[in-house]
Amino acid sequence: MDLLTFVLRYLSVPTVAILIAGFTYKTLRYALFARVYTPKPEFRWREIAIKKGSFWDIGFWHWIKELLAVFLRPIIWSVRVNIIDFVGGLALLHIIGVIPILFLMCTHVSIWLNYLPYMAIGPINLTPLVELIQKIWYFFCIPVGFGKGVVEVFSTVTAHSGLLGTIWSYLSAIPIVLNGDVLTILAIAAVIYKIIDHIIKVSRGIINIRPGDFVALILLLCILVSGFVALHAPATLPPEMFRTLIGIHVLFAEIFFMTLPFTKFSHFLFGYWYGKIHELYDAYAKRGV
Amino acid sequence: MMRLQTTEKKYENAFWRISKYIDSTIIHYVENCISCGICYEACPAYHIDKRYAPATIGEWFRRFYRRYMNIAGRILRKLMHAYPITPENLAKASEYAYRCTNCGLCYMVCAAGIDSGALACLTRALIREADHAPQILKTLEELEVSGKYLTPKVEEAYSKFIEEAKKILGHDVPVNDRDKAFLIPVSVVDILFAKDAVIGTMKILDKLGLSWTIPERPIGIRPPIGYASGNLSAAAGMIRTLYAYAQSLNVKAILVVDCGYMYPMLRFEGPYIAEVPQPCKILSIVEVLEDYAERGLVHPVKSTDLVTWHDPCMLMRRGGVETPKHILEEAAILTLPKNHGKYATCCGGGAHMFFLQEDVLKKLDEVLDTNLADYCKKDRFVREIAEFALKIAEHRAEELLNTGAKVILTACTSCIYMIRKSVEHSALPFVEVKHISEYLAGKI
Repeated sequence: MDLLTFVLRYLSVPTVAILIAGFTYKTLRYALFARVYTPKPEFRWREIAIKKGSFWDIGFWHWIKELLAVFLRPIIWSVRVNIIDFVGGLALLHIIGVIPILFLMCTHVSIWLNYLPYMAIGPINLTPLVELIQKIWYFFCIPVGFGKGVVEVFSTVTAHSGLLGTIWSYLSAIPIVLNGDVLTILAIAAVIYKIIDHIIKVSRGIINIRPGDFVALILLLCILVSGFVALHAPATLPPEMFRTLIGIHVLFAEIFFMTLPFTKFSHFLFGYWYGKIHELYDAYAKRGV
Repeated sequence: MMRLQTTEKKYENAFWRISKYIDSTIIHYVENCISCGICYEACPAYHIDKRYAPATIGEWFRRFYRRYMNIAGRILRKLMHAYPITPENLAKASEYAYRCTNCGLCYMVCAAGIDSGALACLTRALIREADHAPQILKTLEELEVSGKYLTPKVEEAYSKFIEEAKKILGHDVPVNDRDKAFLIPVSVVDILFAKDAVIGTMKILDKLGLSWTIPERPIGIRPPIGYASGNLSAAAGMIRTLYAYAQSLNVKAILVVDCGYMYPMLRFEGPYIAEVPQPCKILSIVEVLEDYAERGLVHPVKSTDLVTWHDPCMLMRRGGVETPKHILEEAAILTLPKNHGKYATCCGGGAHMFFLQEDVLKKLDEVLDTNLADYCKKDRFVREIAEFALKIAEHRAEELLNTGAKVILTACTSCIYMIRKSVEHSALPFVEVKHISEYLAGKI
């Protein structure tokens, strides 16, 4: 049994199980520590509502604006005070790097879509919905590299050639500049930037960087580099070697998902959203900031 | 060995005692910092020393938390930076926690909505619970809670204050009167440092035709001082006392003149930590003045003074009270500093900082019969923190002076003291630093 078979056949189920158990543990803690406080102070939005007549008189769009503001404020602040960190940390690592690679790069889309049909199994027939999701997802998927077709390694949906049938057939100039290869290189650069930034911070006596943070970042770097190397393996490489390369990439990814609930990367699934919604409640609705 | 274990248990117990304040929100603050560094530039402490930033200020509480309340921290102590509570670690934690002024700017800009100021408060609560807080803060807290702050000298100073107010107002000062519109909670700090602001407020309320009363004795040193010392139970006790007093007088609102921590503590935190409902509205003089100006009910005499406004953190970010533009634009020519409103920089006087200044302690010693200024001189740590706060204040004063204003207005006793002190030391032209009530009293 080679590495790829092992990680796909034997390690994937424990990975998902540990991931779910980890997040269940985290979520349960929040639920167990949640407190309903009585009495409460008079909330500022209520004061404003009384002044204006009713809750709706504050204005629906005002609430939407405040919701957007809690998400946008850190981004605007980051651009204002530390543009390098904005480019390295937010733009390259999140917006241009890891998020589109994970969810939109065609090789990964094929994996995600591979799991979608299983959703259709059960008393309710979800097939039309699954097909719709497949179509939409496929429409946005990003080619691996310039010169490589979107569906070259894309097996679960009806294959056409090149960029045909995707958004890139309409915006054909963009994949030349921004394809999977370029995104991966930018993401690798961003992770290296973050590691160097952490090293500099530690050397300056900043105490909140833990050894575990470096482990998580290095793991992310390993995933990106191994994926990039595997996709660019020479055609002359023996198939078992190629399978091992892919196996290493998947193994790193599985370790990443197993540890996800316990690393700082978990913010993407839970902490970030909870924090922002709480901020809207505490800073805006309660205090009226 | 046995003795060592007992000591460690004692400190661990201190952690478990304050763990009653840990709810799902605190868990979020503790567990979800991603070390992105966005908050660094927002922190006034970071501009003075790059080791101190919101993420690092909250880190010691996170370390203790991981040790006792987190599975990964219990198993992988070194990898997760999980530390036990020991006197050495508490001393290290103090270096960070007491540098936070709880200004809340980091909360405004945090990518994950984390309030590092809340973690600094919890760290100080832990340090206080483990009996490692600076002696000055402990003494002040004990005096306020026990009522021993009411020395003959304090009583005398209060009587003088009432006499002075009577002379300026031209009528008797209503003391302990029932069914009035406002109760002005006058404290020892008010009569020593913000007398003109309180009398100015009384004068304004008279002009606006609003009834008011004051307590027969100062209601505390600067209640709830437990917030400053880190003893949240003591703070809760003082809030309960104040609420009960307001209820007994049947006033419509408590009107806070010193809009430092007293305002958000009474207005927002009170019901949570004291577990009693608010007896009436809690208002700051700033929001009353601005509301009247907005509704066109007050028209101050316009002067040609170029004034600027410093938003106290506790009023703006922790209290949601906006810059009083309407009233100030009617009364003078308003120019705002580069960082104002939500993004106003801290003056360095937040939380406990005001009480660590030697001049402040000297004045308090005179009436409280204490020797707190001596502690300040002897305690290296307290001196360091006090100097650190002044450096933060200088940074803010420079921003305010850059507006070219001749008068700096604000609404918090700590802010006035810190900015005034920095302005006095600056090489720039001297400007006045005043409370908004003091400034507007003669103009309405």
